[in-house]
Amino acid sequence: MKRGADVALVLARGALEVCVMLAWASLTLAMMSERRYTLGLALGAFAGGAALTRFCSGHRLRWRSPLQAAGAVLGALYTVHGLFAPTEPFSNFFWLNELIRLPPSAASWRVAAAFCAWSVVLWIAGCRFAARSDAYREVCGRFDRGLLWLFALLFVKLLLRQEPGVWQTQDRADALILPYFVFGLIAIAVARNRSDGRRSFMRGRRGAGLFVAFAALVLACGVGSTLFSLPFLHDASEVSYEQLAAFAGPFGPVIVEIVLFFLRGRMVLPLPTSGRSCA
Amino acid sequence: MPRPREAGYPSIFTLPPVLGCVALGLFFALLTAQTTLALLCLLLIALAGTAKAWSHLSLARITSELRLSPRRLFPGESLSLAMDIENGKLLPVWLQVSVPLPASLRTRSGAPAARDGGLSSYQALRFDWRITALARGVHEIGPAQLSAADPLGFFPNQKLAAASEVIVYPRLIALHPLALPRRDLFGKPGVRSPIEDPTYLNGVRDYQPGRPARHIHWKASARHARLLEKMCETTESERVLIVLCAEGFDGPQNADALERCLEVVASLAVQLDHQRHPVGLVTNGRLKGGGANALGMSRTHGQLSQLLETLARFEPVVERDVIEMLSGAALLSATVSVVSASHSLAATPLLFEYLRQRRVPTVKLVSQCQERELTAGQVVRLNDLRGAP
Repeated sequence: MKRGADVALVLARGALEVCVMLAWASLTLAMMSERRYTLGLALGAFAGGAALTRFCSGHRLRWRSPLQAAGAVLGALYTVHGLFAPTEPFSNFFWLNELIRLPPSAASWRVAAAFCAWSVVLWIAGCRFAARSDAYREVCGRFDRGLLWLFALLFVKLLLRQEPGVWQTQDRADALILPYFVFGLIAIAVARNRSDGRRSFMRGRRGAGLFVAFAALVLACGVGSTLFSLPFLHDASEVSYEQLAAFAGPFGPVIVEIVLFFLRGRMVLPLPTSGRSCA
Repeated sequence: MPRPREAGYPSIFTLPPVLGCVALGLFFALLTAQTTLALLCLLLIALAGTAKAWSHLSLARITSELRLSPRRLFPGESLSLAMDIENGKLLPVWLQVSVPLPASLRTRSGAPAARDGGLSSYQALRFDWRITALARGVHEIGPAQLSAADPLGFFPNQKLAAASEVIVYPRLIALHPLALPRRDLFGKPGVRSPIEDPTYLNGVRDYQPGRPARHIHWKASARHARLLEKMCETTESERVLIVLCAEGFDGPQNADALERCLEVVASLAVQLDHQRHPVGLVTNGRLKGGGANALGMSRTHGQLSQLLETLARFEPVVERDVIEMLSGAALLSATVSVVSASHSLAATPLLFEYLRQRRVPTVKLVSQCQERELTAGQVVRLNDLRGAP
């Protein structure tokens, strides 16, 4: 039970941190290109940094900083790979030679630099997250700080919208506010309600108590996870639809018609466009 | 691992000024049609409002019970302190328990006895502590302070729960043998001795057929117009009355002397009880929490623990006149020896004079005395009685 609560707290705290950074990454990158910073990339960088730091502190490794730096560089390279050569395998680094031989435009490099910067930021945030205390006050402090960052983000968006022509694209920052809130509340509640006391249910009330506890757990985790992944599930469905249309070849219109047959009256699928997400 | 208690507000978004700013932000967002900003502000205000309302209900149907085991112990021993809390409602709550401990009791880790945790619907929670008694006395544990709040712990409400008391007896120490002044004429005291000492008349009763005629109290029989017989004490009842005087022990400078005196008195009482002497206690000091200042001499079950409890409750404040107590309770019968424990001979001169007049054999245990006083007979310095630790 205690281990489960600890795991839930780590996940909720991690999601809390990722939500804020992903919202800012989404906003800043949406201003530069149509490509989006994916949830997988963000989670990978953040979890990688956290796991490496945890591993280093667990094994008392002396070369912690170089290892973390190497990890950050690897994460940045993976981001570049996702941007410029997503179809090539990452492990043989052939794509890197090609990239150096045929460098893309300066604008593309700027976008790549921004993506890499966010990967490194998320990696560092993961490292710091692993070293941070999970005490109640600390979690509350992080929740407050995150909220202030979200307020700042909304303020920046408000300012940008005042300038005609500057704000053209839709980012996914807004969609991360609700999951941030849900995960924040879960993290605070778990941090607050941990206890080493002996628990039991009152006589004759075990069933009701278990049901309420289970329902609350499922509701909180379900709502948080759904809200967290909803924008990215939407992206994934778009990509899948494009892939389906591309690979089906001449049968593409038929398959699209079949899909539309099932979904007609409920929603209208957009026409396939060029790839929009990174990695 | 117990966590320390936290002070101050948990989140800045629970503070009224900040919530006021959020409300302003909501107003601004609604004016400018900023949906996301309005949603965030609304969420924060709703969170604060819900947490506040939840906290308001959090203490309802919360029951608690403080359990101590054992309630009586000696210094250095440990007791188990448990706080049982039940949440008899559907609403889960966060709860913090803080049990104030006196300086004479402390947890094994030395940390305050404070814990917290969540209680879901109809759940019971038990917090345990191991408490070590450091000094003699009657120590009040609690009243425990219960803080309950919403599961986020944003707006705690407090209430006081039950209190309980622990009795810490004086420490028992090894003593050198103390020679009691005995005046028995009919042999060594023994168990259920059939031999009665005719010199120690206890009273009269109706004559029992079969008893020797020499036991008939003729004068009393003539006076009451029926046969009455004398009741004499048996030679086994070498009874000891300990008289503990509070005079001179007051003030913090005498606190150590008092504790040493009580240790000797308690150890002596236990020693005498083991030697099958009926032991009693009379004290003119104040007893914390109340209790009997005079315990008659007996060897009944519970006599020793009652005597030790009286010593545990003892406070060096003179409440009564010890001579009045002795004469009023008629404790000084013929076979009683008195062991007095006092600060010094000068502290209770009237008592010694009273005992001398009543020809009661007395051993005077004193905390402080001069060398010439030791030769005055039956005066023993408390420190001289203490054996090797």
